[in-house]
Amino acid sequence: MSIAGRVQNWLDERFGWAELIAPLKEKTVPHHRRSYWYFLGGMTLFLFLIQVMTGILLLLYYRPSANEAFESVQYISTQVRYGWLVRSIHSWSANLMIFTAFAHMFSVLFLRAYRKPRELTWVSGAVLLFLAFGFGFSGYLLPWNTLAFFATKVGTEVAGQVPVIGPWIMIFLRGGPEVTGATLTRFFGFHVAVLPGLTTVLLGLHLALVQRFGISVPPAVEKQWNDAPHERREMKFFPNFLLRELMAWYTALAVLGVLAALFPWGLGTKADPFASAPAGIKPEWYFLFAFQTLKLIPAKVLWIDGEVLGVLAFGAAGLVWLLLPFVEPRRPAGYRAVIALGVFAVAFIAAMTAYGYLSK
Amino acid sequence: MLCCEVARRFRLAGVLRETPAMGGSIPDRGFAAARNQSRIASPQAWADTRSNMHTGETVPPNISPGGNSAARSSSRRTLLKTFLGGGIAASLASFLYPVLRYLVPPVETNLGVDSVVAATVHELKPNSAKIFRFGNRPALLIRTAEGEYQAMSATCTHLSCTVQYRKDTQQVWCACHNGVYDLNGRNLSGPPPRPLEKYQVHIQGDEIQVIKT
Repeated sequence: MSIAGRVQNWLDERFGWAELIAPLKEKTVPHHRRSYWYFLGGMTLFLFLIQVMTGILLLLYYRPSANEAFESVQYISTQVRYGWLVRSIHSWSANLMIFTAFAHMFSVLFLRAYRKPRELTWVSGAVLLFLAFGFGFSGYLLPWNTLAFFATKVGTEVAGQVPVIGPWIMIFLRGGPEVTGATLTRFFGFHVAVLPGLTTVLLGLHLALVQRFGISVPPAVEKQWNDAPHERREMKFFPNFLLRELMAWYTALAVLGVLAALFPWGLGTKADPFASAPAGIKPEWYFLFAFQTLKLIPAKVLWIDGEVLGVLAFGAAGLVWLLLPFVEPRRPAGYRAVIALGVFAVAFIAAMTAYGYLSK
Repeated sequence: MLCCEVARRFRLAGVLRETPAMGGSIPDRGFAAARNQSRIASPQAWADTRSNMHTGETVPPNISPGGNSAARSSSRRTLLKTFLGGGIAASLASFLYPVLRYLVPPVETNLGVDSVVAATVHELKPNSAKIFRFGNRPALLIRTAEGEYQAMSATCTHLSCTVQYRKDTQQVWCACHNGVYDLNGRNLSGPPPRPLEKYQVHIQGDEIQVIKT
């Protein structure tokens, strides 16, 4: 018997290995002309795993203090062999991960995969996206360069606009009234301990729910299959779908490799808390639409501060988005309204992002 | 009639173009089959796997003309399996190489120190000592009770703790594992396997210079 077979037997005798993996062998994925959307979640997971691995590698040389952070990242980029590549992959993969997470979310929205019984899968996924934003925001500060310093100053200031609890949130995030080395220490802790812990738990829940309910079939296809059951198509997850997913991962890897190698992530200049903000300062692209919207709101709308209004509006929109499966009216007009909302959201984000890039 | 029925079901299952020996192209499902090869020995089993691709559909075995399709698909599977395994192995190797190189820290620039001013002549009283920095490592300068200077590495030869001079015993002592050296750095008792590296001491004017020989 082969070594693998003997190991399998050993495991099987002790805790029923065959029984444990039986559901995986039976697992199927619906096969229809929109099946390619199913690859996006797996791609996001793959990029997340790359983040974990390159993040651990960066931890070997990174030093989280205001005096050493910039120099240690400089050291990684210039002295450590392949350090520039590891850092570049970490930065690019973060951006691609946010992008695939967005794409995954909108595909779930437009294929209405969030509908009963998968409401909690949607909620856990939406929370995972918010956590990804948290990763992006906290990780951005860690090289302690000028752009990161001011992005953090602005970002935490925005959090401070929330009525009543805002100032407290700002102090909590900054570790004091100003962005200092204390903020860096906190953000480092959030980035490498708090957020990974929360993400692991939620990711486990998200994947367990996907496993529990199986993959959703779009309503149109479902109706077609119910009318003509012999047209129902499914593909075994292991190995058929997994091998296809693997090809999707290779595609993501190719894009990532090209971006990381040809456009290595820059470092900029070391943050100086007493220098003026440089011209043309902008947040990461996935925050740009919110940043641009806040810029467009007048200083006062009626008696409310513009900033406060913007922050409240985004907070409300985020909450509606998170609870979408629960607030969706249960009738065809309601479904159409949600699709329209999705189209509006995509158009709004795309337009505001483009506007943010083009404007001064 | 049977033929038509088989063809119809194949079209429904979307596998007609993918049947080995019917088309010229390599079926994309071949990857899956290749992965399963170790567990599938007979044509019947091969057909069973195909029937499992899409549940609810059964694909009869041996429908293709030509007779030895099982042998042909078997060698095709071996080839695909080799490609798949080789590709994955090559990918892993290409990930692993930079990672291994990354893990090895860059060599610190050696300060290349072979002489240093360890103290001034007024600094040490007889029967006392000081630790000073010699390149990247600590070293020990002792002024004996007789007033002579001795210099040696302060890194214990046992497990690299930093040793100290003891006034009471007039010996060099390592607190970690009770290693004892004499004032020439020779290991006297305890675990140290070798003497401490000895340095030369030169007094130039006011300065005590220590030189690595």
